[in-house]
Amino acid sequence: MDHEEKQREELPLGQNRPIQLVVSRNEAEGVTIDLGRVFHTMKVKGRIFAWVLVLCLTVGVCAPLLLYQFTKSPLKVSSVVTLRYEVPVKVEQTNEKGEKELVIPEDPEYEPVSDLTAPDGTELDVNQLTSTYVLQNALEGLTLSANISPAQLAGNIRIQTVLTEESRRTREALAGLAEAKNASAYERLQTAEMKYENRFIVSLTNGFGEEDSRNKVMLKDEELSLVLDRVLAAYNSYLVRTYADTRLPEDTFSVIDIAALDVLDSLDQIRTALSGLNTYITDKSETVQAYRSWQTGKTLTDWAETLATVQSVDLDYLQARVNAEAVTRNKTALLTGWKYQLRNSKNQLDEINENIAETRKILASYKNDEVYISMQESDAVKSTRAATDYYNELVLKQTENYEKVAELKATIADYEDRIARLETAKATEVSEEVEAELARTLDSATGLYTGIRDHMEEIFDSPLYTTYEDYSMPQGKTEGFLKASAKKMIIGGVIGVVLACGLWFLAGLAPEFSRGRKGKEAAAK
Amino acid sequence: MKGTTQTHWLRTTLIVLIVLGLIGTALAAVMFTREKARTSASATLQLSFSGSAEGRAPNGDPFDMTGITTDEVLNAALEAAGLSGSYTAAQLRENLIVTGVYPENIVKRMTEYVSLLDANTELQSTLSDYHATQYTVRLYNDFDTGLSGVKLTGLLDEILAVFRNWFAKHYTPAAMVNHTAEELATYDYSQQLEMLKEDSSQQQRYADELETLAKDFRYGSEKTTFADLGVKYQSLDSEIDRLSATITLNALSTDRERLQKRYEMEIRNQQYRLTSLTEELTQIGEQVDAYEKEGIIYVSAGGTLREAGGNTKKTYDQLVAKRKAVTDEIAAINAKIALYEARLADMSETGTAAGKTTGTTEETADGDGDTAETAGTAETAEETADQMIRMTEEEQEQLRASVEAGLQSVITRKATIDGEFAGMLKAYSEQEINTRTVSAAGAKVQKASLLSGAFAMRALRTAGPLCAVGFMVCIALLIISRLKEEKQRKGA
Repeated sequence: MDHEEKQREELPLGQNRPIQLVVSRNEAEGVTIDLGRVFHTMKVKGRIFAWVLVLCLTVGVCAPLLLYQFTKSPLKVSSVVTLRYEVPVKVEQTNEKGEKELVIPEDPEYEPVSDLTAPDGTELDVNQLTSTYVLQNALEGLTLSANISPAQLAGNIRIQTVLTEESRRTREALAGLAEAKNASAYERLQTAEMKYENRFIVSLTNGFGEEDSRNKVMLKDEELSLVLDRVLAAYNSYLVRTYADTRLPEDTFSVIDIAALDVLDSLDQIRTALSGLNTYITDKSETVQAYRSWQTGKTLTDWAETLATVQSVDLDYLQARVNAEAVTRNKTALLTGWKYQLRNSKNQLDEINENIAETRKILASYKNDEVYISMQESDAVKSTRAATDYYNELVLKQTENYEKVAELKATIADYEDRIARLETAKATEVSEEVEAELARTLDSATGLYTGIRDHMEEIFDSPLYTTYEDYSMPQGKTEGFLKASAKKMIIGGVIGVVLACGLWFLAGLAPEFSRGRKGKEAAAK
Repeated sequence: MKGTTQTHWLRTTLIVLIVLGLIGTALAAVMFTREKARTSASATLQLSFSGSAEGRAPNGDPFDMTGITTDEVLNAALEAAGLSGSYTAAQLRENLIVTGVYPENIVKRMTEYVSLLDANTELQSTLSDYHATQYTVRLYNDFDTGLSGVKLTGLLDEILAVFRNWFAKHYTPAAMVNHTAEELATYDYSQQLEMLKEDSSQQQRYADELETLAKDFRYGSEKTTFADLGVKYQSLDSEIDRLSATITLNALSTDRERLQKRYEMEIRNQQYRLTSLTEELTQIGEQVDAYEKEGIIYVSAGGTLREAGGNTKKTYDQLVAKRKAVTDEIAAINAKIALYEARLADMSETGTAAGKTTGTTEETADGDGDTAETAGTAETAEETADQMIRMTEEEQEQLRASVEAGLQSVITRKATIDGEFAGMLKAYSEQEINTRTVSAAGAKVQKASLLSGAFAMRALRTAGPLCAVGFMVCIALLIISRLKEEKQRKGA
C-alpha cells in the first residue's frame, strides 16, 4: 500500500472518498479493485454493451418462442358422454348351482340406465367406440386438411370410465389396506365388484401416426373437435342400430282378401290382426307408449283405444249380424273349416289336459329338500323343508296350463255354438250391404295399422329413440403461441438482461485485475 | 463520425428487418393461398324457450339439432333463397356443421373432470344435466367457389328461418286428429257415441298433459287454460253419457234388431269366457290351497342373520297374484254381461210395450167384428188402436229426433271445443317458438383473404422468426464492428 492509498483510507466517508474493494488482503499478494474505475470502464464500454444487452434481451425473448415450436404438447379434446336409455330391471334368481344371480325376467320392467349396462341388460362394451365400424362411419364424408385412417384415429382415442362414489371409496379403502400388506384386503381388492356411473369421458389427442414417429399428421383444432363429435355421433348410431327395437308392426291386413274369403273368416283374420297390433303396442315401454306424435297429436295409448273402438263398432257389430243371420258365401265350406278348427282345438285341449294330469301326479309325489341347520352355539339342529326351483317351476307351469285350458274351452264353445247355429239356420247370401260393411271394417283396421306404423316410424326418427348417448361438445383449445410462451418470454428476457449486465460488469472489472497483475509484476521487478 | 456510424447501422438494421419482414410475409402469403382455406358463413342460433336449458322442447320431448340437416329443411331453404335448381340438399348437408357453445366455466369443469377423482355429486349432476342453448351454425362453401359471400350468408339465413318453422312444427304440441262428422254419420247412434266418447277422453287426457307442461299459459280474452279445456271435455263426456243413457234405455237404433243381435252375441261370448275362467279359478284355488309354504329359519352366525329356506315365498305370491287376476277378470266379465243384459231388458221392455199396445189393439179389432151394432164400436176401437200405435210411433219418432238433435249438438259442441283447443295449441306454439326464442344472429362470412386476421397471424408466425433472426444478426454485427473500432482506438 503506497502513501497515496494510505491517505485515501484516512479520509472520512462522504468526502469524495473512492470506494475500494479489497479482493484479498494478503501480505504476499493483495489486489485492490476500485469500483469507481470499474463503473467508469463500464461507462466507456457502454457503447458496445448496450447493444449486447439488446441482443441478449432479444435472444431471451425469442428462445422460448423457438422452443415452443418443438416442445408444444399436442391438443387434446375431451367430451363427457352420458348414456340415456332404459334398461330391463334384473331380478334375483337361484341358478342350477344354487347360487343367486341377477337375471332379466321374461316380461321385464324398464328403468333409466344408471351404470354402464347396455340396453339389452348385458355389460356395455364402451371400447366399441374405437371399433373400425364406428370410426369408418365417423370419417365418412368428412373433409379434413390431412387424411387419417380409422386405425390412426383409434390410437389417439382414450376412454375413461367413472367409478361410482361408493365403489371409489371401497377401492381407496381396500387399496390402503393392501398397501399395509393386508392379504385379505388385497384379495378383496382383486375380486371387489366395482360399479360405474352411466357416463364416461372420451378424449382425442392430436398428432396421428406411429407412436415413435416424428412426422405425425396434425389436424386443425376445429377439425379435431369435429372428428370427436363425429365419432360420438357414429357411436350413438351404432348403439341405436345394435340395441333399438325398430321393428314395425306386421302388415297382416293387406293379405286379407275379403272377396275370396268367407265373411266370418275375413272377420276372424281381421280380429287376429288387430289382436297382434294390440300386443305390439302393449309390448312397448311406457315411455314409448306416452310419446305424442307431432303429426296426429296421438300417443300409442290413444291408438290402442282407437283399436278397441274399431273392434267394437266395426268388427263386433258386423260379426253379430253375420253370426245371427248365418251370412256365408259357402255354407258347406265354412262348416268344414270350423269343424276342422274345432277338432284342432279339442286335440290341443286333450294334450294340455294330459299334461295337467301328469304334472299333478309329479307334484303329488315330488319330494322337496329337507334342510337341517346345526346351531354352532347350542349344538341344536333345526330343520326346514326347502322347495326346489324345479318344483316351483312345475307349480307355475301348471297354472299356465290351466290358463291355456280356459282359453281353449272358450274357443271350443264358440266353435260349437257357431257350427250348431249354422247347421240349423238357413244360410243367408252375402248382401251388398254386408260386403260394404266388411270393406269398411277392413278399411278402418288398415287405417289403424297405417296410423300406428306412421307413428312408430316417427318415434324411430325422433330423439326419444335415437339418443342413446348425450354428449357435450368436445372441449379443448390450443393456446396462442404468444399467450402460451408469455411467462417463458418474460423469464428469458430477464435472464438475457441479467446475463448482459453480468458481462458488462465483468468487462468493467477485467481491467482492474489486469492492472493489479501488472502492478504486482512491476513491484516484483 | 460516431453519430454517422450509428445512424448507418440503425438504417441497415431497419432495412434488413423490412426486407426479412417482406420475405416472411410473401412466404406466408404463398403458404396461405396454397392451403385453400374454405370460405364459410356462420351464425349463432340461440334457444331461449322454456325447457331449452333442460334439453326439453315445448312439447316436453327431448330435442336435437339434427333436423337442420334434413331434406325438408334444406330443400325449403334452397327454394326460399331461389337456388333450388342450382344446388342440392345433399351438397348443403355435407357442408353444414352445428356445434353447441358451452360457457367457459363449463369447459373448464369438463376438462378438469377427468382428474377430479373426488368430484362431488353436485358437480357431476351439473355436468350431465347441462344442455347447450347456443349453437354455432357454419355453412362451408365447397359446392360453388363462384358463390358470393352475400349469397352464402343469405342461404344460411334461409336455412335458419326454415329450421325455426320446422322446429315449431316438430317440437310443439300438435292438434289431435279425431273422427270426422262424415265418418260418424255412417254409424248407428250408440256406435257414434262410443267413437265420440273415445275422442273426448283422448282430448281430455291431452289437455291434462298440457296443463302439467304449461300451467301458466292463458289463451284469448277469457284467459282459458288447458285445465279449463279439460273441464269442457269432462262436461262433454257427461253430455255423451246422458245421451247414451237415453239411447240405451229406449233401445234407439237405426237397426234395432241388429243391435239386439249384437248384445246377444256379446253376452254369449262373455259367458263362454266366464265359464272357462270360473273353472280356471277353481283349479288355481285348489293349487293355492294345496301349496305348502315352507318355514324360514334365521341363523345367527358371526353377528349377522342368515336366512335358510323361503324359496316358496315367490311362487306362492305368484299363484295368489294369478288367482287375483282371474278373479278380477271374472268380475269385469260379469259386469259386461250385466250391462248387456240390462240393455237387452230395456230393449225388450220397449218392445213389449209396443207389442202390448199392438196386441191389445188387435184383440179389440178381432172381438168386435160380429154384429152391425157393434160395427161402430169396432170402428171406434180400431181408430183408438191406430191412434195408440200412431202415438207410440210418434213418440218414438220424437225421441229419435230428439236423440239425433242431441247427437248433432254433441258433435257441434265437440267441434267447437276442438277448434278452441287447436287455437290454443297454435298460440302456445307461437309463444314458445318465435323469432325471439329461436333467434339467429351475427351471420357473417369468413373468407380466406390476405386481409383476414388468420393471414395476419400466419404472417406474424412466418415473418416474426425471420425478423428476429435478422435483428439478432444485425446487432451481433454491430457489436463486432464496435469491438473492432474499440481495438483500433486503443491501438491508435
